[in-house]
Amino acid sequence: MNEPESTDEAVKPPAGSFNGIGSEAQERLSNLLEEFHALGGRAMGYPVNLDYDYSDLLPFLQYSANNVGDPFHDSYYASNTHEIEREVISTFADMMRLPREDSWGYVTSGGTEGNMYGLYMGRETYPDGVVYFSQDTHYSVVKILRLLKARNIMIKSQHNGEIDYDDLYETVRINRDVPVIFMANIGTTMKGAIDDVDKVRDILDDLAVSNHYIHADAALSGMILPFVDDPQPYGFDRGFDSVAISGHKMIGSPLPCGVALTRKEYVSRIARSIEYVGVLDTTLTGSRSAFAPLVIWYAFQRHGLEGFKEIVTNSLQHAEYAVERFNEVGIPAWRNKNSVTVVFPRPSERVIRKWQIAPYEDIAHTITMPNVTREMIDALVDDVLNE
Amino acid sequence: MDRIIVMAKSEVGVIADITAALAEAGVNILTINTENTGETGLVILTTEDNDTALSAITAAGFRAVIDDVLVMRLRDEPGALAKVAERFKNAGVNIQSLHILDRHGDYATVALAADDREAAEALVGEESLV
Repeated sequence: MNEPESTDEAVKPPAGSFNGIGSEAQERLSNLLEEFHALGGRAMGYPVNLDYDYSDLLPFLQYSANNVGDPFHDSYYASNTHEIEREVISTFADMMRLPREDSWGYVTSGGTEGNMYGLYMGRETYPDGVVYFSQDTHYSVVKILRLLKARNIMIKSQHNGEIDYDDLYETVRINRDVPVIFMANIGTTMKGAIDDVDKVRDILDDLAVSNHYIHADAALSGMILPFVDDPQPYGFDRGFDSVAISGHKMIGSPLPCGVALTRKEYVSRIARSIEYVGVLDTTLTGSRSAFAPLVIWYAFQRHGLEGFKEIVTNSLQHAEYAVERFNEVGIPAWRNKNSVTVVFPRPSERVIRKWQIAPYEDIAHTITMPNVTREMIDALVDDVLNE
Repeated sequence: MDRIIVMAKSEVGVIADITAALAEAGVNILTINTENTGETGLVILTTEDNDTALSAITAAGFRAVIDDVLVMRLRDEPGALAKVAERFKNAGVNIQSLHILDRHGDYATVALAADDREAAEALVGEESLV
């Protein structure tokens, strides 16, 4: 991977040729392109990897390809990338320790759709179940639960963002006759915390709750844990029933995308219930992007799993470097194990805007994605120190 | 009439910021009350247009809910929510959702939606309701 220069001026934006439209519109697009380019050199707060090049795939934008329907079934719409999509699903099944022959999934529009799919699957499996999720869960989950009309209870979080297991135990104990749908955070949005699914399963076992379903939101860390030496518990062999992983985060993509992955047997059950109303479409959306699977597939072809291991290792080293640099100058920054999310006290609005930092109440974070360089980290620390 | 409950830090300028956001959105305030609990305060409003007010207050950076939920204050300790859940279970009142809105000092502010609001209010108890 090539490290980008840290200053906005160092690299010129790619030339845009917008000859098909009027001059005023051309100017607007040129300005937008320049703006995007400038922002890229200071993108430190959000979990998006900007270090990619998919220009080889540009010819595919000439075609109205569409992955409508189930990628594991035939489609009458022939311009699709279902075969490539199935390969992408197999790659993620391997990483999430789910035998390929038992797996089912599809490329989604992003993490939210993957979480909606997983929670929908849980709700269909246990219609009377209660969804338990921690205070640090992504806000979109509350929206999803409202849409699904699923009963739900928020559980306290610990300071590091991980769920409070005592509070979970006590709350499930009261409702032990009700099926548990557990929403596990495998990397929280603000602190990169990972809920320990072994502990969660111990709680469920201890309370003799046999009807349970675990969905994992592994938007960012789903592409980290498979590549580290000492990962927290994750995967279908540790109790996941479904998982959502983003494509535009650690992998990097010009359009939001992700993967929803679950066990084939669950989908067959859902498919039967849908068949009752005369439709057999196991995905949440109808028309789906055929380009997104190409992007993810291309990234794996280009880097391979070994390449991603190197990318992830590098990002984790940069996260540790950021913590050290902050601490050296007396700023109490910290991060969770195996996380590229570095938490520090909320800086000024000027710093937040300059580096596109994500604040929440009195904290903020920088996420050392593959495009974040040591020079950028140094400059951020200097800015925070000198404000 | 439904209320809007805004969670905010107890600091100078909060009321000014909220009322300015509502003025800019053209929303008329009917009543406004505040409650302070140490570092965090609650601003409780009724307005002529709650939907617009909620958008404006949220856009101004505050955390706010419309009072179709019960908002209550509980001790911030493991199992506190569980005890509430148990009372509801024993009374046969179905909890649709139970969310922590804020934690400050020894207390947490919690929103609860149930299938029988009247019964839920009685179960929570006046001393805990905001």
